[in-house]
Amino acid sequence: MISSDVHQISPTEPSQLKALATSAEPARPAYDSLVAALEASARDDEPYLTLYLGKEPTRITARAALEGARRQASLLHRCGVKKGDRVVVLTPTSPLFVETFFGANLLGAVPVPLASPMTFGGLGRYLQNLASIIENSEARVIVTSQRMKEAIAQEEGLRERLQHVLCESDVLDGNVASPALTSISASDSAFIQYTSGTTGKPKGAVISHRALLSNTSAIARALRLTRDDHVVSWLPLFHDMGLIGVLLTTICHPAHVHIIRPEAFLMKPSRWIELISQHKGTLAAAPNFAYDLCVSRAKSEQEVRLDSWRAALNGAEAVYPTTVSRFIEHYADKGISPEVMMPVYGMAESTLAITFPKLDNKYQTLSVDRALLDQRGKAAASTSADAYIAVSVGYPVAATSVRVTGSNSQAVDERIVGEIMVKSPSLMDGYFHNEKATSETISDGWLHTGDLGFMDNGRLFVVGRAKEVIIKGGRNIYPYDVEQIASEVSGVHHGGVAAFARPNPTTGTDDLVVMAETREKDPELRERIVKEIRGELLAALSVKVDDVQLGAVGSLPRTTSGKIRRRECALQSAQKQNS
Amino acid sequence: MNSHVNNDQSKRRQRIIALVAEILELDDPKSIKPTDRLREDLGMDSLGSLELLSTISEELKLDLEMEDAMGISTIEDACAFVEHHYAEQHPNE
Repeated sequence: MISSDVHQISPTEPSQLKALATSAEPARPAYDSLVAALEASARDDEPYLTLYLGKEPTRITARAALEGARRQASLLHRCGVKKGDRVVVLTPTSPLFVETFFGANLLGAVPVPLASPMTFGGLGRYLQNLASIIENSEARVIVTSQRMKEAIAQEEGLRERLQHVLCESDVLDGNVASPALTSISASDSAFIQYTSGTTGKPKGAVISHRALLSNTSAIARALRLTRDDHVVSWLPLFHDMGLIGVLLTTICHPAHVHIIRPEAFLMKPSRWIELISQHKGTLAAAPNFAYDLCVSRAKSEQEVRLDSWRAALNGAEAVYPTTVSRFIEHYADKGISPEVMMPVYGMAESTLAITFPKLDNKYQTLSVDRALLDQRGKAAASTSADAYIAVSVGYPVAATSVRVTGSNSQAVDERIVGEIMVKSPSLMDGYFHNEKATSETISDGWLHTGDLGFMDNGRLFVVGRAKEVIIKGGRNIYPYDVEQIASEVSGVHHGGVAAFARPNPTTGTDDLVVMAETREKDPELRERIVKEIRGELLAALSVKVDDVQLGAVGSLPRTTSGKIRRRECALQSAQKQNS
Repeated sequence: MNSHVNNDQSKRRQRIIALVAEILELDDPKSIKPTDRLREDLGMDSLGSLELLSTISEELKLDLEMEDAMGISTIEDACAFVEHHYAEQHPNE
C-alpha cells in the first residue's frame, strides 16, 4: 500500500488531487558545514574510504582524510588561496582528489571538481572546454595529474589564467604550520558543479554548505544509512552522484565506502559486482546503462553472492524496466533480492537527491496508455500489451516539495504530464557568474527541472525532458552543442541539423541520432559527410553518434520562425524505425 | 631470433586490429588501415577505448593505464604503444 501521509490534498477540491507532494520530514542536518562534519567524523575516528587503485587497497579513515586535507590546505594557502577562491580539482579517483576537495573547504575556498579526459586523442578540444570553465570560475589554482600538468603547460590560454598548477609531487617540505582556518557558515559556498555543455556560457551550480548538508541528511535518512553499511561505488568523484551520494554523504553520516575507478568498472564491469560480493556491500548506485553493462559483459565473472545488497540505486538517466528485469534475472541465483532496484531522481541544481522511493517498496511501475501519454499528456491506466511502463522514482526527500506544472506554472492534476518543479533547502544558489541562466532556471524559489513527469498518489514518474537534453550513459548531452558542431562539417547545410535521443532498450540508454541536411548527391561524398560528423562529435564532445541520417535541404520539420523542431524529428525517426 | 620477435610483433598487431574491428562491430578487419585514426576515422568512443585497453591488458598480461594512452591517435600509435609497454614489462621475451 502507498502511504498517503506525504500527500497534500487541497481541502476545496477533495476529488481532484493536484500533482504536488511535500515531504513531511523536516531537514535536520547535524552540522552547519562540511568542515564541521569532517572534523566530527575525524574526532570520532569513523571508518570512511577504501580505494582500490593499484595492487593494494588504500584505506582512508575520517581522521586520515582530515589530516590529508590539512596538508593540502597548507599547500593551497601557500599558493595564495583564500576564503571564497575557486580551486579546480581535476584528478582521477585518488586520495589526492579527496584531500584537495576537503583541503579547499578547510580554507573556506570553493572546490570545482572536473572530469579528466578519457579517450584516445582529442586532447586539444578537451583543453579548450577546460579553458572556458576556468575562465568562468576565475580559478587561479588547479590540482591535477602530472600528465595534465604537462598538457596545460603547452596551452597558452590556460597557462596565462592559472597561477599555480599543482600535482601529486607538489608537497610541502618539512613541518609547515597549518594556516589559520576561517569560520565557515552555512550560507558559504561548499563547491561548484559545472553541468553545461561546451558551447555557450558554462553553467556552474553553486552549492552552499546548507544545501549540501540538507541533501546529504535527506539521502542518509531515505536510505537509513548506518555505520554497518558498506557502500560500493565506481562512480566518478567529479560528478554529483559519486561526489555527493558517495563521498560527501558518508563523511556527514559515516559508513564504510569501497571505491574503484570508473575506468576500472568500464573495462571490466564484474569488478563492481565482485567488490559488492567480497565486502558484503549493502548499497550501490549507478545510471541505468551500468546495470545493462554488467549483464552484457559478465563473461569472466567470478562466483559472487549478492544477498547483502539492500538497495541498487538507479539514477541520472531514464530507468528501463527491461534493464531491471534482465539484471535481477541474471543475478537471481547469486542471491540478489528481487526487490533490490531503487529508481531515484535528482540533479546537480538540487545538490543531488530530489525523490527517493520508500525502502520497503522500492520498485513500482504503472502501465499507461501510450497514445494518450504521447498525444494528450495523460497517464491513463492500461492493460494493453503495448502499454508504456512508467517507472516511479518515489517521493520527495526530506524538506523537499515537488510539483508538476502546466504552461501557467500552476500545479496540474495527478496523472497529467507537466514540467517537474522542485523547492528545497538543497537548491543551488544559482549558476556562477551566469545570471541569465539562473533566472531562467529558478523563479519564486522553485527550480524548473526541464524534466517532464506526472504524479500518482504522491509518487513521481519522469517521462521525458522538456529541455531536450539527451542523456546517454548517464551523461548529459546538449542537442545545441551537437548541432553546432555537425553544422560546421563541410557539405552540411548550415543550420540544417537536428540532434535528439532515441531510447534503445537493448543498451539501456539513449541512442544519439543526428539528422543533417545536405545538397550533396554523390554517395561517396555523402559517406564522407557522415564519417566526418561522427569524427567531429567524438573529437569535440567525446560522444559517439549512434545514427546519422542525411536528408535534402528543407527536409527537416521547422517552426514558422525557421527553428528546427527536434521533437517532430524524433517522432519521425521513431516511426521510421518501427515501420 | 630477430624473425621470431618480428613474428610475435606482427601477431600482436593483427590481434589489435581484430579487436578494434570486433569492438566497432566492423565486418572486415582488412578495411582498417594503419593510418586510420581510432576516434575520428573509426568512431571509437571512450567506452570502446577502455574496452580495447582492457582486453589487450588481459590477453597480453600488461598493465596499461588510460592516462598513458591519451596520446594514441591512430592504429599505428596503438600498436607502438603496446609494443613499448610489452618490451618494458616482458623484457626477456
